[in-house]
Amino acid sequence: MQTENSEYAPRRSRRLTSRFVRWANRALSLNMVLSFLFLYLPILILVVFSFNDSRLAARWEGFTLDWYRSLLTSRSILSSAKNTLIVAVTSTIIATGLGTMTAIAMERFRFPFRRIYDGLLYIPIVTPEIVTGVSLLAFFSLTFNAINSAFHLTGDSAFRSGLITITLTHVAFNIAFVSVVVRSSLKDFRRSLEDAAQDLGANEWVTFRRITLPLIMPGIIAGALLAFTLSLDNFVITYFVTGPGATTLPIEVFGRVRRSISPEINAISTIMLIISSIFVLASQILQRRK
Amino acid sequence: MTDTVVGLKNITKQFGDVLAVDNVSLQIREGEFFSLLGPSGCGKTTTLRMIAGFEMPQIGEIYIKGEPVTHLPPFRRNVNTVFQDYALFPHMTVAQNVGFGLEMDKLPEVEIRQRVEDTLRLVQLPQMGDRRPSHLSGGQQQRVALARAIVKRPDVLLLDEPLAALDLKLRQAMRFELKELQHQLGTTFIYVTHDQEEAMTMSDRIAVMNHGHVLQIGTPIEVYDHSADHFVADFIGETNFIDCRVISCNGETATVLIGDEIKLEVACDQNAAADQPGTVVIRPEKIDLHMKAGNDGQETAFVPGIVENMVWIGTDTRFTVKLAGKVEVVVRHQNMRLGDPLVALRRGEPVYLSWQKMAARLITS
Ligand SMILES: Nc1ncnc2c1ncn2[C@@H]1O[C@H](COP(=O)(O)OP(=O)(O)OP(=O)(O)O)[C@@H](O)[C@H]1O
Ligand SMILES: [Mg+2]
Repeated sequence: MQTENSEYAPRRSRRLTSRFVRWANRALSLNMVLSFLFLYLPILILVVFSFNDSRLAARWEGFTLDWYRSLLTSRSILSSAKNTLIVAVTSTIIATGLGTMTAIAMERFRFPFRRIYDGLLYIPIVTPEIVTGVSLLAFFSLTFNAINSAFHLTGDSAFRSGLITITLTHVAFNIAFVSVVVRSSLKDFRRSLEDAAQDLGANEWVTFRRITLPLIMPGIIAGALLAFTLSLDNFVITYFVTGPGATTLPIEVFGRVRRSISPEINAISTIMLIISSIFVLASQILQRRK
Repeated sequence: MTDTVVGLKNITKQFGDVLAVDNVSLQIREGEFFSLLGPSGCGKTTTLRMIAGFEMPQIGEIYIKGEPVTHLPPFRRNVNTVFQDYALFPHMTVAQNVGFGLEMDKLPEVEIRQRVEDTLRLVQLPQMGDRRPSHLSGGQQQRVALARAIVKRPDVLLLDEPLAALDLKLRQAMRFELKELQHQLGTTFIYVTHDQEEAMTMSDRIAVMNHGHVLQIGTPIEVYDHSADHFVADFIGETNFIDCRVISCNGETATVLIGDEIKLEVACDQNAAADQPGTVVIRPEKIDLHMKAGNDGQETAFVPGIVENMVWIGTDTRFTVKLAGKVEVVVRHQNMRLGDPLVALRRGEPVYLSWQKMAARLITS
């Protein structure tokens, strides 16, 4: 009896397994299709309706570029776009410089508590944005209160949140992202190239400028593109540290959505989507290319 | 000591717990081809990197042309290195790679161009200046690395296993080319390798290293025929090691007992105490095989044995002969004559071994 059982058992279970696998495969394919629909259908609808010739988002009435045109004449949109660009460019430049230096320090130098710094560097990447936002808000208001009361600053001369605080904040979180990207390109870098340069008479600075920097440049640019994108569309943290007159595009969009979803919002969102996609794609390509 | 270009004096280098180089002293002479030979991890690269200036020793001094350079950075030493992975700058052309060192010396552009061209011709890579290193074969990259290192006409050229990445044929051809190049330039070469054949065929002198120590420094013939110790004899070529007991020793020759019966007179470099255990070292090709016992005066007494095994390998026949007391000895017999009766020997047949008196040596370390 026992031998019979043990002879049959594997065959039956194999048949069961193969049927289960087929079924599971189908379910997984369906699941993938549904997930992609769920992810991209809303975006697709948004893009399509940004070209819809109707104020109401309910029905397709024909193609138009009116909403894009009206963006160009909207004072608030233009000024927030300008703010966004100022913040993004400035914070990207500063964060790329600092992030690159941090990456080099982490990869190249031995110093006490290096491991701890290493871990600390990744924390901004995983900290919930809301926590970062709240903490920065508290930090800035405490600091500004202290400074303003110490120097009796009031009115226009008083320190308060604005574009500068937004920029500082973006620098802060972007340093982490830039340094992660740059470090991965430093990891692939052959140290013997630097040895060779020094062997041929180049001092440390010349070696860095002529050998290291050109070879890790794709990594630095990839990091910068990523930083720029993150700064462009950051909402949560920016919302906490912004001040009067310092409205960025995501904040402007949020403000408008609270009133109603207008086709202009679709148009802005489409533009931001395209710009972000291009930058992220470029960043990915630069990181892939070896 | 004017003809010493590189001097190492009691150099010790430690990485954490690892003693990479332990109290090494070397004197490398002007214009010689000097090899650092040893197994993986013995400290060859570390020694070379200290001469180049990439590592600083914890103890000891390094001199180049009589000047202490121990703590000078690499870019202040007039030595150049050919790296094992070539380390060619991938974002520069071949000509820019080769010209980099001259550019660092701020030479005029016209001179740089001329010298780059001359050097590329010297390493047989003319017309390649505009290519990228990644578009060259391994052998060509190796030549570019060589050109880049010699274009500055350094006092010393350091080479870290430069041929290791090439295939066997190319490696053998490059040995002669490197040696020829060294002869033409007259530059001192310090050459790191773990390949004893490479070191033997190219070097004027060899330093054999193991575990961070230099065990022996000498010409290829010296390290082969007068290996300082068991390790050196074993690392370089094939050797018979026969355990023995010293009966007497006068510092030049020693009488030893192998097993219980075989009493031999052998050469001996160091003094050894009577009754001390030791090893007799003899190279397989230095042993003569005979069908009958006899004595021609030049050679030691004939030692009888039984053929245990034989392998015919064209130029040679390799015999394993068993002596009294289960001692096995490998003999390489050159197949010089047609119809040699020795080659017709079969397993189990008796033979006699002999050798020049000084060919067998006693080592006690
Ligand atoms: N930067 C380093 N940090 C720690 N240990 C090192 C370092 N460089 C070398 N070592 C150690 O020192 C010892 C000698 O290394 P070295 O590279 O000089 O050996 P080698 O003779 O060149 O060997 P190989 O033939 O494998 O290249 C090794 O045990 C190695 O692990
Ligand atoms: Mg090495």
